[in-house]
Amino acid sequence: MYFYRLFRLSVFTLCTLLFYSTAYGSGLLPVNVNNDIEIALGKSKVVFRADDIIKIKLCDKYYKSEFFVQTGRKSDIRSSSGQIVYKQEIKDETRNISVSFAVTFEIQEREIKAATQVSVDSEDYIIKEVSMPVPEFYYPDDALYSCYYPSGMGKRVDNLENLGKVSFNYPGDHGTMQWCTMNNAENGVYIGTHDELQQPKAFEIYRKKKGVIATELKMPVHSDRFQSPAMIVRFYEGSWREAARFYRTWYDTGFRIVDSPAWLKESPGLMLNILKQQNGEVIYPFSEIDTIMHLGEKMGFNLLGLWGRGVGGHDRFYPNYMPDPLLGGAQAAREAIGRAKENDFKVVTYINGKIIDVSTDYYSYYGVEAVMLDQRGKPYIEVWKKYENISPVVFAACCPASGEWQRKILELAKDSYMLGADVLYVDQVSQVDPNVVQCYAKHHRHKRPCEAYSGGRVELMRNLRNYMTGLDEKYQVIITEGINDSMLPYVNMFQGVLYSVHEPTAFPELFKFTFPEVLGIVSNSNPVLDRYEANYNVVYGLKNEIMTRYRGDRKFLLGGAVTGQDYRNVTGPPDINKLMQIERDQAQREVKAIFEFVRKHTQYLNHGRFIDEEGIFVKRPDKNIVVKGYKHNTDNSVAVMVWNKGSERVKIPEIVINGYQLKTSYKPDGIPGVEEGYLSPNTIGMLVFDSN
Amino acid sequence: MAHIRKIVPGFLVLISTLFSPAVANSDSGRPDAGRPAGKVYELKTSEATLRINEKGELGVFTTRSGTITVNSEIKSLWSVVIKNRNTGSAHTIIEQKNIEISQEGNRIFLKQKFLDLKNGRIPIDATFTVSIAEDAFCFTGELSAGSDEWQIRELSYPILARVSTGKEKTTIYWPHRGGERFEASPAFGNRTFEYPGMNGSLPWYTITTPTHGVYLGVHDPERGAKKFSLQYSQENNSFGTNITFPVYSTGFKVPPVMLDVYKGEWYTAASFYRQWFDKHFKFPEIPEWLRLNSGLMLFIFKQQNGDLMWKYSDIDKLCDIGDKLNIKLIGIWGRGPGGHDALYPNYMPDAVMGGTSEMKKAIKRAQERGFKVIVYTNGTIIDTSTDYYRFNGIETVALQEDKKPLMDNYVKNSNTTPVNFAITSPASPLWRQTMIRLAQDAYDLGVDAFYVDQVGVREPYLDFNSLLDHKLPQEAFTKYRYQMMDELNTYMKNLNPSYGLMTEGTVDAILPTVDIIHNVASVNPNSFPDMFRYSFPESLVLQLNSTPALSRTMVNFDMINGFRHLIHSRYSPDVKYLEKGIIPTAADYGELHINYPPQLWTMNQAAPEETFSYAHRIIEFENKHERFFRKGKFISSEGISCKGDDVEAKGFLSGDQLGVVVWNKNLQAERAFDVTVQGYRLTEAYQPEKQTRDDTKKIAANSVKFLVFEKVK
Repeated sequence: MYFYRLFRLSVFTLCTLLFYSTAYGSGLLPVNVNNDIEIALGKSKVVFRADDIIKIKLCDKYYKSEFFVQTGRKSDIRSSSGQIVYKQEIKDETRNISVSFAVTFEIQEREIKAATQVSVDSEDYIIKEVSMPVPEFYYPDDALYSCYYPSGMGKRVDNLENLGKVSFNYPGDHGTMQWCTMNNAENGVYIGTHDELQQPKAFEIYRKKKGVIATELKMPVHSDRFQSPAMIVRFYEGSWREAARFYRTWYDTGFRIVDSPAWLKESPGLMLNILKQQNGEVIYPFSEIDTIMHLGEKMGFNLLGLWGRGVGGHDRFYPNYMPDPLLGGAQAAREAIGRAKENDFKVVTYINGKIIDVSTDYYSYYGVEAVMLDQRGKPYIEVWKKYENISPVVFAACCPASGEWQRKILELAKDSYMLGADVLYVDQVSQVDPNVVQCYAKHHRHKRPCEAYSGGRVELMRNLRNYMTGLDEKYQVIITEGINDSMLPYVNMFQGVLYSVHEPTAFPELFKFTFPEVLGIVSNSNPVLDRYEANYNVVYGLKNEIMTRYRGDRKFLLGGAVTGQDYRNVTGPPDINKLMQIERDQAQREVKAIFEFVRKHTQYLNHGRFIDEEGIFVKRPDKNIVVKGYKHNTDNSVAVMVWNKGSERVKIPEIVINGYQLKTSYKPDGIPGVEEGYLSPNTIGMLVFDSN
Repeated sequence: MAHIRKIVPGFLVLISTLFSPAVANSDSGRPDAGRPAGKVYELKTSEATLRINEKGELGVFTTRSGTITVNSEIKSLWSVVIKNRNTGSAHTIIEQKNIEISQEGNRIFLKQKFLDLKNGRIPIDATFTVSIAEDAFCFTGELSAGSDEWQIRELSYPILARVSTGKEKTTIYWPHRGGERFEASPAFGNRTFEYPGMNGSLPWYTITTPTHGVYLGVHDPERGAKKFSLQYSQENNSFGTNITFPVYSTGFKVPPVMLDVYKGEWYTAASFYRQWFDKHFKFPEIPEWLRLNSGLMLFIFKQQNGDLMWKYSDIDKLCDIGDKLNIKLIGIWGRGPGGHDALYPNYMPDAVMGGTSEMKKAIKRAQERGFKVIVYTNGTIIDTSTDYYRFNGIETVALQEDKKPLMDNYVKNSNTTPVNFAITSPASPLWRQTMIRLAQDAYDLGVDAFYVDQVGVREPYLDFNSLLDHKLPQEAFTKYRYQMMDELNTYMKNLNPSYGLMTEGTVDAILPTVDIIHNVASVNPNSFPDMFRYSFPESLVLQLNSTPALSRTMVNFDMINGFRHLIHSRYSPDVKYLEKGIIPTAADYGELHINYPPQLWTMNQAAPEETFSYAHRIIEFENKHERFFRKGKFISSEGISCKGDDVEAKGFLSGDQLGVVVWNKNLQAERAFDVTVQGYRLTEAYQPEKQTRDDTKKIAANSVKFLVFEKVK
């Protein structure tokens, strides 16, 4: 029996369906006198206005000028069974340009699929960007709708009346999936593209007037022909999770998410250690791997990150990562990694998948092959300056569709493998927004500038995965920074899916429910994790992190007290106040206890499935109570995680799952102040339900 | 003395609105036109009246004839951007409240004690004044935040909502790259310029009608940073304008902003500014050889991609080219191991080109043949791949507010890895010292002049590098840029008074500290170099010409505007053109993946021998008439009547004589012309191309004539 069902249909909906199916069958289409297309569900409706059917931006072939084509209002409109096509041919005599477009709407039941085709005939101009038809969502006054959109792990605007304008650019850190939804817990509208090429696109959701939300979708083109993927606008009943499931169902028809080894799923997260900093300061030589292992063991981390192993330290001289003799050299690095593995640790080594230091020989000799060029033929410059008193280190961004850069990344993967690493960390790759960062170099593998960080990035990561598993089938784990769903078939774990657990608009449920098996690390640039952070990560099914980046961090971890003086000249220190105030040993003990708790319930929390709150009814929940469910890996039981994130104790609320009964409950060991029937401030508990 | 106080807007405003006769007709520009005389604040210059009425409306209008009006409102005469240092929140306050107005004689005071935010108010002590100075309206003032908690980031003042010329023909003179002229307001649109910098060569602009003009300029002895904005509104056929000053402090004193409504042509505006300039600044003693010099042959010896085009020993060939052109100054660019635009600030002579000793010998040989030699350095950028950047960058580069460097790059070949530069800060003592060391290095090679690239080009960037000399971010590229050039020029002149200093970028703020400027304005329909040249006729300016050919058109353009001539030899096909007379094709540059080749028409306009020969003859003519072309005073077309299609005439004063260059810009057709000068009589007419005397009736296509007039006594 399914725990939830797809698209439950009400009597009203059936009547609506009957009406539309009759109308379509008779050739009657929902077009009004203005040629606008309209579909409705109850009191809400979606309208595509005939005067907002398309926007076409052209540019000259040298990218010096750009302008919108004046499309006019009067399209040639043709309809056939279930389909309406708007066509126009436009001539610009002054510029000697001929543009034609066709926008096709397929109208089925409660769903409209829109697709756009544009061509330009000109010697001097190409299509730079096309905007798809704009769906306007009219919602009733008496229903409270929220907007859910996939920036990062997800964001939610709780009331559409509060929505001014939000946007997300896919695929990148701020556009991790290609859909969004407006939902009032009973029904909603899904807007998305089912684009198997995962091309770049920019969504903008804004309030057009009271009661009306418009969603604009722009796609970069850079060609004289354009065929858009289908944009789908669909009414559905139920919560936003129905929309997520609808997207996931489509996703699974074209993509397969990489399967990660059990040890990675069970790992609590990453203990990131910078061995040498950008200014040359050594924090740990390779020989101190035992110290790192000791700290990892103390806190419960088993995945050790060795960053800054090269001569330039962390964030200098990339792509040179050869082990620094000052740290002990290659032999010492191999021995250190070997020793860690013998002690049941896994080791991840760092490379940057995007940037190279412009002062390196590699940049001088291969830069022209590897780097991205902007519209003016100039490199994309990125600067990292970690200390006030050092010259900023200047990097250029590389193009994932460059054959040379792909070759270099594979070479670096092999170098790491030869050192004995279990995991390769490829920094920054998944973050980049291809709608903004486009490569105009002519000699790379991309045909169009916007393909560099879409198709090119996919190719890079696919080739990397194949290459690594070809070296050794156990060498299969890739971590990168940022997240987007085009990377899921190739990357095992994503770092920085959230940059703080205190981000007020974050709604990580959106991505986690859509892709529950995906492993994401919440970034934490402190050398310590507190209980609140660890609880958050357990409840939302995310991974943990601590970072040791500076000598001050090392001092803190080894038992010393730190002050601002320990971070003098550091431009981005950890939260020094936190380090000064926290009870370090106690925090480490508590976090380790929480990790142990997760390990104990691994079939739910590591191998099970995140179901958010679906089917879980909480009676009179306190505002500080967070409830999230996990389905067991092999049986039908459900574990409900309950977290009191407030500062007062609260009674554990009554929780009901239809068709299930409460079997037992658990709490982490070693957390002080735990009382039966209550949750103390900032504590978690688990209620396990068996199916009847 | 009457001391009138009033608060606007307030209940009095309401009363005046309710009980006053009809509100002023905004078209008239007179804020109280049509109403009985009431309590107004008024200032008068010889040409215009400034009035603030009971409603707080400010108007400026010509007192007698003329259609120019300026209108604004006191409540929006300034705007302030402030930031809370504790919270980091920034606010822009564009509408002011609680302004007290008073007048004492020829000075109107506008006082404000609070800035009103959405959620409260901030104490501020602001007194803005409008007064009469130099027979113009002078806007100045002082403001300071009530506490250190608040940083004033920017002040815009005055904000003049509507500058109107009525229905008269309107021309805008705009100081972008030495000057631009727009003869239609819609074509001007919305523009800004930042002074000091190449794109803001002068701190003023003017709008004219056939009889009058309005001048807006800042007479700031500190030569501080400021941004001028001028926006044309088609809707009401008028302009909005304002000046924004960076502050980044708790207080600021507004330098005098002069609004002058004048009778006459734009020359009046230029002269008005120049008179003020002369009260505060002095031109340097420019070496005589440089004043008499005809121009520069710029040779890149080695390019950014390593392409070696000349060795030092090839200098004899360069002298031969100079003889053909009649240009006696050889520029050695790209002399270092990195070639041109790589590995800066490393300019040590490259061993591949012959090394130091060979270079010294070559320079000496050129000098023995009567040539002067200038070598290149860049005064504003360093290559981020150098040791200098790595080890000294933090002490020399300008940083943005996020502490990242300001970056720049020049990608010369599409098949070469781009070279990345960081922009250096003149507020760095180490950088200033580096420039002096480089000048000494060049002097030790035996050169006659030192080229410091881009110093005049840069806009007044804000520099947040706290390790340097400046206290405020806007001082780096103003106060310390002048200091850098002053220290450098002084050092060079102490080495040798005839050691010449040249930089790139036309901007008046550096004139007191350099000998010659390399202008970077390209020639386009709006180019109007007269604006800078007329304001500073004694300045030496080389006109940009990034091609090896000194085409007939360019020679004529240079001659009529009083520019020194320039050729660029940058790529291998340029070398072939200069050495062997082979005209390059687009493919020649394309094969080398050159991103910015020279304009081919400059080489195709005529056979190379003819191009060389024409330049030689014109320069010879100029040299012969040096009293006009090298030492005369450029007067643009002031007082010169020139009739004839496609023909233009500009003059050079020398004592009682006026030399007038007449140029037929039509490339195909001969043109008739008639040039007269009021108060002067024609004494001689020449055809410079043939070095002979000539008539004053017709002029051949793309040719010049030179007429000498004498003042009638």
